[in-house]
Amino acid sequence: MTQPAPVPLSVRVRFAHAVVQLLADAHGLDVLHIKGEAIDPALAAPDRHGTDADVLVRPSHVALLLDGMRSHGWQMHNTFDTGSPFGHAAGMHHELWGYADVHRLFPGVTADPEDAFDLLWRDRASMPIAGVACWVPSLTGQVTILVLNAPRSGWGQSDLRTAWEAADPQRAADVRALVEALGAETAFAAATGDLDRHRGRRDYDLWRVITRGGTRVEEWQARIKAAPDRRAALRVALRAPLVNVDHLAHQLGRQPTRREVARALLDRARRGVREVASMARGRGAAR
Amino acid sequence: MTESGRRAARYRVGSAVAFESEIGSGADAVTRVYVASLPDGPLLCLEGPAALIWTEAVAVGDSSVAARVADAVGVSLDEVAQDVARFLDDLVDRGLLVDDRGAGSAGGG
Repeated sequence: MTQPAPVPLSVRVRFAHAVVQLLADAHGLDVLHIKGEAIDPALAAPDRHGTDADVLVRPSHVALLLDGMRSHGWQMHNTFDTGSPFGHAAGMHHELWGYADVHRLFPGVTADPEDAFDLLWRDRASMPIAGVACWVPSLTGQVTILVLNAPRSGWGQSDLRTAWEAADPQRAADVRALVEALGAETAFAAATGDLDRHRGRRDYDLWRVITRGGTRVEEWQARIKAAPDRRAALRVALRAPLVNVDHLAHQLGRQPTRREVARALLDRARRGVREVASMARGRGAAR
Repeated sequence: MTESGRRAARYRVGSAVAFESEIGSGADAVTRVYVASLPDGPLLCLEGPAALIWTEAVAVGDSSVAARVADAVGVSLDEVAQDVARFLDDLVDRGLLVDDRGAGSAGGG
């Protein structure tokens, strides 16, 4: 028997799934394993592997799961607020098990997060990962998540082919029904090339920026517009100009100093000004 | 095999243990089994005979592990029985395997 050799990433990710399930079981928490190593083999391309363990957690259980993970050596490297424009996941890291993304909601889903989780949870299935029984969404739920994830994923086109385009008519109908129940029509349309039919929806601009690109200011405006209510919009608005300290720490390979945070803040402010000027010029030129 | 002909399982994977196999490919392929105690580790890498013993213990789980290992490597049971038993005892001591018969001769045939 030997002590750990370099462990393949896919093996490490599978262990991370198993650890999260074990901790969830120990604390009576509801967790669904999604994407990557948790995809049913029938839906995944043969060479598809995850780089981290993605789990969707019942929103009211998220804090308890994070506490449980922290007490077993996991550290947060991305907070919900700084991880992505959607504020959907916290990034956790363990020196042995690698990375795990703890989702409190899934990007594109506009239904109440607790209700959305229930929709996926009620039809869950069990799947062994690293020999541990893990809860995963039903096949319909997995297809839905892969399609909603496609616009933001390097595996997006591959997932669309194997999970969505290969779906039989009944599965496709079930997926569309689930998408509607989850209020995820805009994201679904963004993935399947039908986004422009959803111009009137509040999250249209955000998915347009995600799928077709845009400036930082456009993304910021789209995030504010996509917020479900004024309070949420205000939170986005207040946070958008701030520096993503987590991202800066990753770039530097260490925690940034206060001076570096201040410099990044100023740099970001300057970029914001330039982008506004550029958009103004663009509009002027178009007239 | 009928129910009456099946030997009672003896070994099973510990309740907080995960394992993954990596099947090697190519000329210098090494097949490994990674075994971990959850949630804190350690994470162990089993190679060669160690991986074989683990795999047989998990797949078969009865007292024929040593015989199966001997058969797989082409030696007599006598030549490997003691080492296999010792290794299985070690896995049990580490909590990676559970021996439902408790202490005793582990891999005898």
